Amino acid sequence: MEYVKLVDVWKTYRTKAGSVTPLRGVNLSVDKGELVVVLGPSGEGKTTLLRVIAGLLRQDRGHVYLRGELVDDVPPKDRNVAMVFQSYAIYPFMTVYDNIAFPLRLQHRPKQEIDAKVRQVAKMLRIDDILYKKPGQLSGGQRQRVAIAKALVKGADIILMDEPMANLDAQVRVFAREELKQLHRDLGTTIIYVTHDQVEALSLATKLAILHDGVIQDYGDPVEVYRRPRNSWVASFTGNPPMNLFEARVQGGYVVAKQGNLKVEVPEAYSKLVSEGMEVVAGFRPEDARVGQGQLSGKVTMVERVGAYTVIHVDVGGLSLRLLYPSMAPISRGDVVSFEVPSSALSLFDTKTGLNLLRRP
Amino acid sequence: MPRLSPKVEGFLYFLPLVVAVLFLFLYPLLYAVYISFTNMGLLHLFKYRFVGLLQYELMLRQGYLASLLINEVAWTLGSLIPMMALGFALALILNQRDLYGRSLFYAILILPWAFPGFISLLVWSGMWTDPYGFMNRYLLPFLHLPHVNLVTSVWGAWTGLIVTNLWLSFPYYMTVFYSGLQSIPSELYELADVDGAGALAKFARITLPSLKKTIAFVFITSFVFTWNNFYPIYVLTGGGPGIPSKPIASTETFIVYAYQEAFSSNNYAFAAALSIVSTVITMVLAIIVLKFTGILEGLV
Amino acid sequence: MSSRRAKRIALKALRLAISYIVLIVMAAWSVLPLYYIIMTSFSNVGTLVSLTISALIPKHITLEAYRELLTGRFIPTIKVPNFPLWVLHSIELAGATALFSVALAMLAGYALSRLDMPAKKSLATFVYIITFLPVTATTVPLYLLFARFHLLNYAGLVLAYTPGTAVFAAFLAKLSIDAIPPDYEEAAMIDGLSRFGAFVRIVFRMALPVVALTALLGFLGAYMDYATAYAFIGSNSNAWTAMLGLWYLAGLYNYASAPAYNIFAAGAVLMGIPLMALFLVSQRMMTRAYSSLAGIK
Repeated sequence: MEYVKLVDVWKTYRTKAGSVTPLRGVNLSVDKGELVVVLGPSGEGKTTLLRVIAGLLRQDRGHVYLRGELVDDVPPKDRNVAMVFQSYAIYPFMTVYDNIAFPLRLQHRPKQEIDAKVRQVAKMLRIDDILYKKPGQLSGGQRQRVAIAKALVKGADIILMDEPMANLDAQVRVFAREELKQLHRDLGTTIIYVTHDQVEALSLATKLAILHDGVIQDYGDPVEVYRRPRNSWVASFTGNPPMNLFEARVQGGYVVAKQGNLKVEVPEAYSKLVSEGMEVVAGFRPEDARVGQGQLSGKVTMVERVGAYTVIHVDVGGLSLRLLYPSMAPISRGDVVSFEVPSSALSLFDTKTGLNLLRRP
Repeated sequence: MPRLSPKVEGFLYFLPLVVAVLFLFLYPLLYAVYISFTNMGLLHLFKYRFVGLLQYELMLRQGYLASLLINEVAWTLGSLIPMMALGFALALILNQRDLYGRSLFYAILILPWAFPGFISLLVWSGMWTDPYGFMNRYLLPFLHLPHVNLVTSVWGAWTGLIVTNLWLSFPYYMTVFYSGLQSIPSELYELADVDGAGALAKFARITLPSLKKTIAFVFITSFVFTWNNFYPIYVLTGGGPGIPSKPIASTETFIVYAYQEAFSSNNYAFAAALSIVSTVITMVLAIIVLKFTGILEGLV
Repeated sequence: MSSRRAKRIALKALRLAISYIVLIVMAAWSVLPLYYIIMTSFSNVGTLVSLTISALIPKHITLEAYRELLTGRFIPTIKVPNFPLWVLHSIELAGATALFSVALAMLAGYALSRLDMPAKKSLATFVYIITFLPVTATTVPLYLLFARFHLLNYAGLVLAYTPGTAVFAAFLAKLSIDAIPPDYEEAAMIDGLSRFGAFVRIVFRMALPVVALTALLGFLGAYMDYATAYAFIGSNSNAWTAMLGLWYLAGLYNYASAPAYNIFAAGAVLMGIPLMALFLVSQRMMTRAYSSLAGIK
C-alpha cells in the first residue's frame, strides 16, 4: 500500500541572494516497510523534501499523503513520524535516558511504560550501558545511536533520516550501516533515508530514488537503477568511478564513437530501438570493460591506486576513458593496454533528452 | 489548532515587544505633544483647553530656551572634557608595561563607577554640605581651597556638579580607553622604536590615530548620555541657585527642569513642552550617532 | 655610567614616580566617599554636624546604626519596620520587571532570529531607534499618560521599566539564538511539542546565559531607579521602594524630619554593596556574551 506519497510537490525559498526552488514537482510513492534512499548531490533539496514530509515546512504546491491520508495541514507533532537529524539534535541538557524518554513523556504515558520502552530500545541499539550519561560525554557513534533510539521509541512506523551517517568516521560508518540494515530487517518500519553518498545508498536501499533538478530522476530497485539508469545524468552520477559517456553514431551494427577509436557492437536489447546513422550518447561502466584482452587499445595517461582496485585513465585516439585494473598488477603512464567492451555493458541514451532508449515505464 | 503561516507566527512573537515600545515610548510622546499645546497645570488640572503654541512661546520669550540650552552645553562639555581627559590620562598610565600593581589600582579606580550612582550622589550631597559636610569642613581647608556651596553660589554649584560627575564617570572612560590602548598591536611601537621615534612622536603618530574612532564614538555617545543625565543635577543642586531665565545662573537642564515643573510645580503643559524640545534635540543627536557609527548594519 | 644612560634612568624614575603619585591620589579620591560612608555607618554619629575627622579613624565600631535601620519606624504611619518593607517592595518590583523583560526579550529575539516576518528589518530598526530616548526623558509624558489610565502604581512602574531592558536584550537574544541550530526545536516539534512549546522548553534552556543576563539587567534597572518611582508613587510612603527610602533617610526629602545620619550611612552601605556586586556580575556576563558571539561570527 502506498504509505508515503508525494504528489507534484513544489517548494521555493527566498534567500539573501534571490529565490531558490529546490523542489519542482516531486512525485514519490513509498510502500509500507520499504527503506527508500533518496540520493542526490548536496544542496539540491533532499533535506527540504524530508522537512516537507515531516511537516516542518509547508510545500507551495502539491500534496503530501501519509498512510493514505492527506496531511498538508497537519502539524509535525500530529503526523506520527520520527526523524533523525544529521546533527542528531540530542538535547545537551538532558541525560540519554531523558532524551529518549522525551517523546513519550510528552504523550503523558505512564512511567512504567516509558521505562520499559526506553530500556527495550536502548538494548536493541546497545546503548543501555550509557543511559545516564550526558550527550557531551558520548562518542559520535554513540550519539548517532541515541538519535536513532529517540526515533524508534515513539513507535512511529515512518522514520525519516537526514544523512545520519555523515558525521561519523569512515570506519564507524561501515558498521553503522550494517546495523541499520539489520534493524530495518528486524523491525520492518518504513524508512525514508536521504544521503549524497552512493555507497550508502546502494547498500541500504530496498528502493532507490535519485533527486536532481527538483524532480525524481529515477526510482526503483537499486540494482536496476544502477544497471539501467533512466537517463544519462543518473548514469554519470551513480557508479564510482563514474560511467564513461561519449557521443556516438550507429554504423553497420556498431556504436562508433564520434571522437576516438572506439566501437562496440550494438547490444541485443537496443537492436530494435536504433537505426542506421542515428546519433546517440553511449556509455559503459569502467568495471564492465575487460582489460588485457580485446581489439581496442589505448595509452595510459594516469594511474590511481585506490587500494582494492586501480583506476587507469586511457586515451583512445583523443577520447579519454576510465578503466579498472587489478590492484597489484604493474602498470604505469605511457603503457599501452588492450581492452574490450562487451556489448551487454553498453547503454544508449537519446542525444536530446538524455533518456535511456530502453527506458522503463 | 489551525496551522499559522510562519509569517503570522513570527509577527505574533515580535508583537509584545512592539506593543510595549509603542505604548510606552511612542504614545506617551504623542500624548505629551498634545498636552504641550494645552494649558494643563495647577489651576487647570481637569478642565484644560487648547492654547496652541503658548507654552513654547513662553519658553522662548522668557529666556528659558536660551538659558537651558546654554546650561546644557556647559554641563555636557564641562563634564565630558575633564572626564575624557582624566580617563585617557589614567588609561595611559595604566598601560605602561613596567607598572607594578596594575590590577589593584584598576580595581580601586573602578569603584566610583561600580557603586550605584544614585547612592553615591546621596553620599556626595551630604559631603558637599556647607559648612558641616566633609568637603567643606575638612578636605577643602586641608587643600587650602575655598568653600564650595552648592546651594547658594552659582559657581559653587557648577564646581560641585562637575567634580562629582567626574568622580562618578571617569572609570568608564578609563576602561574604554585602556582597552583601546591594549588593542593597539605592540609591533607598531616596536617598529617606531627601530625607526628612532621618541615617546612624543609615538604618541602623536601611533596612539592617537589608532584611537581616533574610539574617541569619536565615545564622545558622541557620551554627549547624548550626559545631555540627558538626570540624577547628578537633581540630587546635588536641584537645579541650582537660580531659575533658568538667565543662563548659568542656575544649573537647570531640560530634563531636570521638566521634571520639577511637572512634579513640584504641577505645570504639566509647560513640562511637556520642555520634554518635547529636549526629545527632539536628543533624537537629532542620536540620528547623528547612528549615521556616524553605522551600528545598524551589523545588527539586523 | 654614561650621562645618556643616567638621563634615561632618571626619566624613567620620574615617569614612574609621577604615575604612582597620580594613581595613589586618584585611588584615594575614588575610595574617599565610600570609606567615609562605611565608617559613618559603623559610628554613633547622629548628625552631619557632629561628624568629626576622628570619625574617619574609628574609635569604636558599633552596629547601632544598622539595628536602627532594620527595625526603625521612621514614618509613624507605617506599623512595620520601614526599611525592610521598602527593600521588599524594591525586590518585588525588580523581580517582576526581570520576568517581563525576559519574556518580551526572548519572544522578540526568537522572532528576529528564526521566523520569517513581514517588514522585519524596518520594524526592528524602528524599535531600536525609539529606545534611544532615555528613560528619564519619557518620565513626564509617561506620568501624564499613566495618570489617565490609573497606572500610577507598581504595575505601571513595571510597564515603564520593561521596554528599556527588553529591547536591548532582544537583540542580544537574537544573536544568541542565531547560534543555536534549529535542529533542536525541529526535533522537539516532531517529538510532540508545538513551536511555542519547543520555544519555552528547549530554546530557553539552551539560551540560558542570555536569559540570566536579561533578568539581571531588568532587575538592576528597576531596582536602581528613583526618578520614575518618585513620580509615580512618591506621595505614598507606604509603597516606597528602597531608593525612595534612602532619599528620605539622606534628609533630602525633608531635612528637618530626617533621622540620624549614621542610619542613612548604614542604608547606603547595605544597599550599595550588593548592588555593586550585582552590577559587576552583569558587566562580566555582558563581556562574555559579546566575546562568545564575536567568536561565532
